Amino acid sequence: MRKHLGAHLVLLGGGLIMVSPFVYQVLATFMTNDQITSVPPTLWPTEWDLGAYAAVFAQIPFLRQLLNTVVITVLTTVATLVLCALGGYAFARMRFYAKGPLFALVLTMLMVPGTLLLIPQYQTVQSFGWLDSFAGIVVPGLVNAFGIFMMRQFFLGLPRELEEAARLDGANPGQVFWHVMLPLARPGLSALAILTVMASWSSLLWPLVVVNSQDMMPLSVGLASFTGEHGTQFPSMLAASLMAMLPIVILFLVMQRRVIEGIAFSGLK
Amino acid sequence: MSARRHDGVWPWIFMTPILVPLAIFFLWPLLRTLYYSFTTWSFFGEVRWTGLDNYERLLSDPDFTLALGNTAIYTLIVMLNVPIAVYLAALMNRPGLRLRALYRALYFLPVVTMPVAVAIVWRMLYSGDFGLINAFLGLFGIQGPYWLSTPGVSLVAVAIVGIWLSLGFNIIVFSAGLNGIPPELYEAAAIDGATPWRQFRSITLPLLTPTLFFVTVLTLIGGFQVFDLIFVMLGTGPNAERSQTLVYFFYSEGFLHNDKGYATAIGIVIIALIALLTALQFRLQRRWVHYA
Amino acid sequence: MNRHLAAAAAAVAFCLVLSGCAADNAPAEKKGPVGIDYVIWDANALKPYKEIIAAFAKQRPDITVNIQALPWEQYWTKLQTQASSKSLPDVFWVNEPNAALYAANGALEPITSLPAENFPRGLIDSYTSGGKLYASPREIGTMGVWYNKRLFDKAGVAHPRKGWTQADFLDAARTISKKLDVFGAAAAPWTGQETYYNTIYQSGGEVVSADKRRSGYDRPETIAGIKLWVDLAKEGVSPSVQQITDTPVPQYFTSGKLAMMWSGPWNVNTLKDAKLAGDFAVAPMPKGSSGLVTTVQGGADAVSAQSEHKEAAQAFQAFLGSKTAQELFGAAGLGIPAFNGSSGSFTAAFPQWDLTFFAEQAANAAPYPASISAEAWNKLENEYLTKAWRGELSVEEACKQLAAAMNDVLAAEPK
Repeated sequence: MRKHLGAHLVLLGGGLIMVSPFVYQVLATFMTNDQITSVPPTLWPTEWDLGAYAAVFAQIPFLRQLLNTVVITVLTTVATLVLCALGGYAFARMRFYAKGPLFALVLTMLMVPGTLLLIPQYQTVQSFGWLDSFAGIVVPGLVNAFGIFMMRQFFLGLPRELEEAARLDGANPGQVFWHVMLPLARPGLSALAILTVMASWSSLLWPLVVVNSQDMMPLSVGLASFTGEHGTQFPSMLAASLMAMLPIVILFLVMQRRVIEGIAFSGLK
Repeated sequence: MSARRHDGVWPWIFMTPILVPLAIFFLWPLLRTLYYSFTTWSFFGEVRWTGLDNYERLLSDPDFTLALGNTAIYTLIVMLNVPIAVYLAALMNRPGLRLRALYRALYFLPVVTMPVAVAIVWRMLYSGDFGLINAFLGLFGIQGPYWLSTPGVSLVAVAIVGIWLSLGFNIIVFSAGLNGIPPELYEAAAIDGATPWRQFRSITLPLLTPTLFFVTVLTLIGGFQVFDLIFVMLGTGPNAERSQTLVYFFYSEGFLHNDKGYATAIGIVIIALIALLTALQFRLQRRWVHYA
Repeated sequence: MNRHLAAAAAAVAFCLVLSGCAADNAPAEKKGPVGIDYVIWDANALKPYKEIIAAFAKQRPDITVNIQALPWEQYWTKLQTQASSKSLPDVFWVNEPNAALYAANGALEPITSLPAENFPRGLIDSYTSGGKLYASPREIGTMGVWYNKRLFDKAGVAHPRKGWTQADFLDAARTISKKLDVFGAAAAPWTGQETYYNTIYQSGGEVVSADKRRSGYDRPETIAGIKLWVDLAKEGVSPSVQQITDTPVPQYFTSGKLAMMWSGPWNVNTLKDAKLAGDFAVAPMPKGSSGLVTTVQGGADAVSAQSEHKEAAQAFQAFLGSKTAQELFGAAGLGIPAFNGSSGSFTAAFPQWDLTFFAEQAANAAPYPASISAEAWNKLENEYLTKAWRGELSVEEACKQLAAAMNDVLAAEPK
């Protein structure tokens, strides 16, 4: 501890600044709306009121919407991993017609502001008859440009010799990918998994536009409904968002070593 | 190395599951959007071809210039994210440092918060009369501004939240990059008597440049696309118009003024600008990025 | 190779699962019971509406109503997206500017059978265009003056009462703020509905002309209606623009730091739970030089012209506009029902306050100022009036510039 005293001081100080908004958020969930909106504001709950948490369960079908979020997140993550592994490998190691332009197209996806394609994408989903379904929420987001980019970098960082050896043994490219490269890609895939889980967990506008019933809403949309035309119920909103965050935080704590190793492997060229 | 120029059918087996949804849910909508940008279109569906009118109007629209300037300023401030994240990641990555997992978790928490909650909490922190930030500055005798309603300051205030939100993500990417640097290099340098600063300058920084490049590209794209944060932080305040960014401008023309044709033209220009800057970065990387 | 087959099979199965989910939720066929979608923007209203829908089901057991509450912030974004592909919900909440916009584009089904005399004239006018009524009014939003009795007593100022005047209001605000360390009244450029819209009409001005062709901001009466608020802010009787950005007006009021808050009936639900609730009372709007004291605004229910189940949607809309449904709405404390004579259901739910005047005021209130491009000129109001509030421009100059900018926007509206 003494050896890195300076580092600890900086990191701890910075860390406290980073989490202080959360400390306030946690405290505020135990306040009444009246206390949160008091002038001047107070920092410590006077009554330790649990009403905010009760209100969350009373107002939105929290568990049902949590389940929707889990389903959407799992479907998205599994599909993203498969597609990004395939695409990333193809872009990194295979030679094919129009590879450069196709990769540029994938990068373009990163540059498009989210709401720009809202209406044409909605019309497409509607023509498939996918409104108000998991398919409508999940499928348009399956091609994840960030993920393909990241997996491409990852495969570029792996040594070529292993593939060459497998090829000499008579394996076709599919077998090389499946037996040799995919196992090596595990750290990269776990990193991508956690990033995808996070993004899909909190996505708001697209599911909101596609879903037409209270019971199909993911939690992110249900939470947003605590903002009304004439003001927000602050404690319930904060409590609900805290409850929604919790699974992700736990997942991160469990996965963090893998995430970091995963990104390290790619070298990110 | 084989001499074949193409790998036959295999790449297409790999690429088809990507290309089909990409064509349906991205390329086709994008092409239609491109078409709409040459039309006058309210959202009720009647589309009228007007050629380059939208683009000409855009060039002379003072709101566009304002939004472009605000976006540039915001992006520049948010870029500070990169050196801060490198510094903190380097500290966290010191060999033998305890509590590393705790630190990572602390800095990562903001990455997973819900945007609405972010806005509620930060608006309270920024309050001019009662906010914690000004109370803290007051301890040093500094009179803090009305962060969210003073022109010039409000954009900085939002950018600080932007940095807070993404710092943890960048620290983790950098930590990963640092882990990839072989420890023998540092040992050799220490034997040669290099100071920690010198080690950082001549080993860490050069070997980290590929990661730096990656993060810089992503941060710039993210900065240019800022919208939600401006919207939730400054939405109804007196500075909403003066602080509007490009994507905000797009949203307000398209969804508040119901001028979807003009809005799509703005969207196309945003993509073109980002593409240009990204291409520039890819060209410049040869000068400063060292690949092992 | 088997593994590839397995992977391919898994991919196919995945797609099947996804499309299977879609099939489950496909809209009900026309034969047998009909399902209609009803979309609102207030999640608080979900529970009371379950009751209203149950009451409707007794009349029309062949219709099922699927209700969905969207967040206010994204409500219109989603509806525009749906309108662009002709998939608007069968019945949905509208407000004045959007009803005008959707009606002008043929997206709303006109109402033929609603007895207009059952609703306040101002509301019916707001939702009528080209001689046709496009939505069934749901609630009445006139303004009142919420005040803090304790602060009035402490400063020795008489409580506001029916028939008081703008001058009385200004006196009270100034006196209390001078004597006690609190604000007298509060307004900001983005609180038009609650504050300066009312004083504009009280002074005989207007925000937009009745034919929606001209801005009223360059009229001297309109300027007078704004100037009185800017003066209060300058004198420190009202919190500044900056202060209201950080701390919304209701927060000052519920904390006992503000003597008077101009606002609508919707505050009852927050105010009744406040610690200081016993100090609060509410009075009718003060009178100005004109006969009008406030504007009347109120959400309404519209039927999509694109609906596949128009008969069912219209039957539900008609039920929503009936006395039965309106009284259920009122009794739940959601708002003052628009149906004449049914406001008692709402006021009875809050016996601690005399709320009857809100509905009475609707009789001589101006229709809420709105037009197709209201979203656009509301932003202009915010932009130019902020300059007046901050003292960067005189009120006259800011209003003149605002009128010019607003006229440009109005001229671009389809007429």
